[in-house]
Amino acid sequence: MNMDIQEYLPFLIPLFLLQLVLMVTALIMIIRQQRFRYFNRIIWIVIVIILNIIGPILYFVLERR
Amino acid sequence: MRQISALFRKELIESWRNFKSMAFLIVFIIIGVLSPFTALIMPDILSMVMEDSGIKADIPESTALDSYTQFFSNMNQMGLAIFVIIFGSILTHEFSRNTLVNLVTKGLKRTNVIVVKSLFLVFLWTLGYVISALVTYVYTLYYWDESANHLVLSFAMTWMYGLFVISLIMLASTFFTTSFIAVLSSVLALVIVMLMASIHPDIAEYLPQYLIGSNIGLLAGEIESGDVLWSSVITGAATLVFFMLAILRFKKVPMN
Repeated sequence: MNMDIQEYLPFLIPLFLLQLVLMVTALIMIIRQQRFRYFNRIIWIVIVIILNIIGPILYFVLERR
Repeated sequence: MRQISALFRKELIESWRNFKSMAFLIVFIIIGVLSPFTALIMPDILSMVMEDSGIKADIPESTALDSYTQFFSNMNQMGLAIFVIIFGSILTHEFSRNTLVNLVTKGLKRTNVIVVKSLFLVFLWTLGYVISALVTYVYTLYYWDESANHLVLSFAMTWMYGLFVISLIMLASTFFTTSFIAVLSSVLALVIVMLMASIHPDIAEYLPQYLIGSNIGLLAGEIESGDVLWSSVITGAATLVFFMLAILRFKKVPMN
């Protein structure tokens, strides 16, 4: 494998940071939310952590109206 | 004018509080970063796969065109879909929560409601799309430093298609009032109908779908800028007609 990680850092760092912002915001909102329309807190946390990008988007669309 | 600016501020604050606008912008920036990245690592991935399966072939280095190809395929499919999913409920959730009734009975003009909602969507779409396109453009310039034909026009076509989709969301929302799913499926249905119609080569050039199908052709020089004139004109006209119909229909929508 001749992949050079160093070369790809200008892409990987912003991608990682942006996903982190999405995930952390969603997690904070989930923890502060009391009543849930679908599922419960644990399931939402799992969804947001496991599904990149799609998970937080799903949460914002379905729970935050 | 005061009603419009107040409502616009309300939309901004609302989408800021529920983080939808930020989530949308972040996803669009991710698309902007991901596209040149995919184009850059594609030859490496291909060569690794080929090594594993024992095929020997020369894989050409990726070019600036590959980067834009990735951008448009991401944006035209995922980007637009995410935009519709996040903001398709902008009008329907007001109906389902009955939040417009008080405002309208206190003298808020119905036309203003739909004008502001549309303006807000156009504003966000333009902002997100321009940022995303700029990010891809800067990365592509930095890593490949090649020029492409009709770059601005090519980017503008997808933007225009976005406006068309926004007008469609508005029109569908005024018909299906409380059901976001109905809005979603009507947008999807029209896209599918247009895709099916564009199988016929004579009609294809006049459909809005042609705009997001010919970004790459334009960049590669296979299509001239005059070729997309008709579909642009028709898309623009359809967008205006849809907005007009939405405003007319919204005046008659019962609210209770």
